[in-house]
Amino acid sequence: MKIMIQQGRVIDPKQNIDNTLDLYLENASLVSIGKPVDGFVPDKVYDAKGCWIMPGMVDLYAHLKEDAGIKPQEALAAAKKGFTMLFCAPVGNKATDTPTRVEKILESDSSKIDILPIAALTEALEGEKLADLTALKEAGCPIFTNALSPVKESHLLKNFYLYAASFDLKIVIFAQDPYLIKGHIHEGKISALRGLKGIPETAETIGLAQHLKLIEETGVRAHFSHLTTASGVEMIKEAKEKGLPITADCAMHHLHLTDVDTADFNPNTYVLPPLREDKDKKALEKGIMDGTLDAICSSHLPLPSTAKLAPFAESQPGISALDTFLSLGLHLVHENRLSAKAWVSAVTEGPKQAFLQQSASFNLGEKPDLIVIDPNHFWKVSKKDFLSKGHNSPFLDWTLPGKVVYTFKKGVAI
Amino acid sequence: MTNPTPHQFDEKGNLKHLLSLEGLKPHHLQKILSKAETFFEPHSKLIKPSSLLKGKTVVNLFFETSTRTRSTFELAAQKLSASVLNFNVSTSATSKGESLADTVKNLMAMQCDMFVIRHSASGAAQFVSTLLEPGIPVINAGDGCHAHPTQALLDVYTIRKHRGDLSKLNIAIVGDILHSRVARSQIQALHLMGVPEIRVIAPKTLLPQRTDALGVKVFHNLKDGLKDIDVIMMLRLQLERMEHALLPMGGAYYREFGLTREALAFANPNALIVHPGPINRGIEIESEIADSENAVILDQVTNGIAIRMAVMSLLADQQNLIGQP
Repeated sequence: MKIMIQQGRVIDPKQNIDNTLDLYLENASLVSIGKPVDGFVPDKVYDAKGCWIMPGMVDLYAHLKEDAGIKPQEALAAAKKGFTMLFCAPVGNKATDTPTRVEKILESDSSKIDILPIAALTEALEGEKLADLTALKEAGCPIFTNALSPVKESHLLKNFYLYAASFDLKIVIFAQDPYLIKGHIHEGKISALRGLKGIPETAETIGLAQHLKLIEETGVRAHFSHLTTASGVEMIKEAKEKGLPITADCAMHHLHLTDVDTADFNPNTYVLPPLREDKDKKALEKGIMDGTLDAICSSHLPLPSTAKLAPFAESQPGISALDTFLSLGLHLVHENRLSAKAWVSAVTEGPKQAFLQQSASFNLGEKPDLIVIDPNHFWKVSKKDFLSKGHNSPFLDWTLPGKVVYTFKKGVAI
Repeated sequence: MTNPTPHQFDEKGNLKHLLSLEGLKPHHLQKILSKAETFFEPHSKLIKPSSLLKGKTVVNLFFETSTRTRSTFELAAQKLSASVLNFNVSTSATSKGESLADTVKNLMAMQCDMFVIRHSASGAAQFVSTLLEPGIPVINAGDGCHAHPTQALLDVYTIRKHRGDLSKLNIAIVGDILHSRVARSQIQALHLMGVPEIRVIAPKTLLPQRTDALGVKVFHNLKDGLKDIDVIMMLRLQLERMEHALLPMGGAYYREFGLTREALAFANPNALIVHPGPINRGIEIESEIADSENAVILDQVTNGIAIRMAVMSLLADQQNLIGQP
C-alpha cells in the first residue's frame, strides 16, 4: 500500500521542518518527505491542501481510567480528537499499583491509539508504602506518580526517590504543598472579594523547593506536572540551568483562564491546582515558548453533570478537556501567543521525550503517528459535539479553530 | 472583570434577585432605604403591616443556624401578608443526603414564590438562582464568607438614621474580615454610600491577603485605627469558620482588638457602635459598651425587619425597574 499525503503544511519541530510538502508512505513506513522516491505510484492520495500535517498529539495526563480499565468512550474521544498517545492517571478506587491492574488496563484498551498507564508511586496512592516499581515497569508502566495525593512525610518521599533513582525510573510530581493547597481558588483579589478560600502561590513554590532539593540529593529523574505560577516557572528554569534531570508541563486551561474567570462562581472553572493571575498565564506561555516547559497536558477529567450541580466549592474540580485540546492550542497560535512550532512541540515531541525519551519526529523508515488538521475550521464549543462523556467545560460557547481531518497511527489511517 | 452577578438584573434593569451588593449603584441603595422608611409609622419605631405580598409564599431556606436573620425575614414576610415556609435543615431531607439542587427543585414544585437562602458555601445563593424558573427571586441571607447584603443594608440604614449623611463619616470595621460575609457586603455598601474613609482593623490572620481589592485602609492596631472614627462596626469572631492558629487561645484577641472603654476613647466622641449580633460580651466588646447609648445593636434588629420588607416587596414586583436611574 502506497500512500501520498499531498500539499499540507508539514510541521516537525525536531527537524525544523515547516513547509508545504508531500509525505510518502509505503507499507505504513515513511519513505520520503517532499519528493517521491523513484517509481512511487500512490494507491491512495490524501488531500491536505490548506491543512497542517504534524505528529499525533501526546497527552501526559488524562483521567481515562475506571476500576475495570480504560473508559471506551474517552479513548474513542481521544483517538478522534487528534491524540495518538495518552498517559492515563492512576486515580480511582483501585489505583494502578500492581502489575495485574496494569495488565487489565492495557487489555481493556480497544482504541487504535496508545494509552499507557502512569503507575501509582505508593500503594493505593496513600503515600506510605512504596509500590513495586520495577514490577510495574515490567508490566508496562514507564512512569510513576502519587498524583495530587501528597506524600506528607519528607523522609518517606526521600526514600521513594532514592529507590526510583536506583532503577533510573522517572517520577511525575504535582509540586503542591499538601497543606497550602487546601483551598478553592487562587489567593488574590478574587478570593478576597468572593470569600472563597485562597490557595497561595507558596503552595506551588514551597512544594517545588522541597521536591527540587530532594531531586538534587537523590538524583531521581522527575517531571513536574500542572505548573501554575510565574515563580514556579522561574524555579524550573533555574533548576534546569543547574542541570537537574527534570522536565515540566502546564495544563491547557492554565494558558487560557485566570482567577478572574472564577469570579461568577461558575463551577466549570473550578480546577486544582487553581487558575492563577494574568502574569502567571503569561509566564506559562513564555515557558512553553522558551522550552522551560516541555509540554502542555490536557488534565482531562470527565465528570457527570451532577458533579458540577452545586455551589462552587462544593462541586468537584476538573475539566473535560479532550474535545477542546487541539482547538485551544491552535487558538493560542492564531492569537500569536505561541508560535506554531512551539505549540506543536509542546503537544508532540516535548511530552514524548519527557516520558519515554522517544521522538515524535517524522523519521524516514519509521511508521509515523501523524495527524492532518484544518487550522481554519471554526466551531462553537457545544455539549452536543463532545465525544467525551464529561461535558464539564469552561470553554462552552467559545468559538475556536481546528478540526482533525485524518489520523494515522503507526502509518495507518484510523 | 466578568459580570459577578449575571443573574441579579434583567436586561431592562429590573432587580431580579438580591445576591450581593456588587454591581449595584448608589441610587439602587437609596431606593431600597427609602422603601424601608415607608414601612415605619411616622416618627416611630413601629412597623406597619402591608398587603404587598398577599397570596405569596416565601420559603426561608436556612442551611446554617440563625436567630435574628431568620426571624426577621419571617416577620418581614408576615408583615407583608405572605405565607412563610421555614425549611428546617435538621429535619429535612438534606440531612438524609438530598442535594441542594434537588431540595430547591422540590420547593419550587411546592409553588414557593420567593427564596430566602443561607448556606455555608460562598456562591450558594447565586447557584440557587440559576436553578429557579424566571420570576422567582432569591434573597441571599448569607453565603459562606461571600455576602450578606440585607445585613449591610440595615447597617447603613441604621447609621444614616442616627448620624445622617454617610459621606461625612469615617467608619472602621473591627474583627474577622477574612471569614466575614457581613464585612464584605458592608464594605460595598459603605463605598456606595460615599463613605470617605473605610478602615478595617484586624490581625493579618483575619484579613484577606489582598486587602487592596476591598478599597479599605488597613490597621493592625485598634487604638491607631480608631482615631478620627465616627462609626465602629464590630464583627463577631466566627469561631466556627476558623482554622487553627489564627489567634492565640485565651484573652489575647480581647486584649488587642476588644472594644473596651479605653480603646473607644481613641475614636471621635459619641462614636456610633453597630454589631450584627450575636454579641460576645468580653470577647470582642466590653459589656458596658454594648449596653451604652451609642450602641444601636437592638435598633439594627428592628430596622432589619423594614429593610427585609423593602427588599422582598421590591423583588416581588419583577417590574421594579430599580436598575434604571
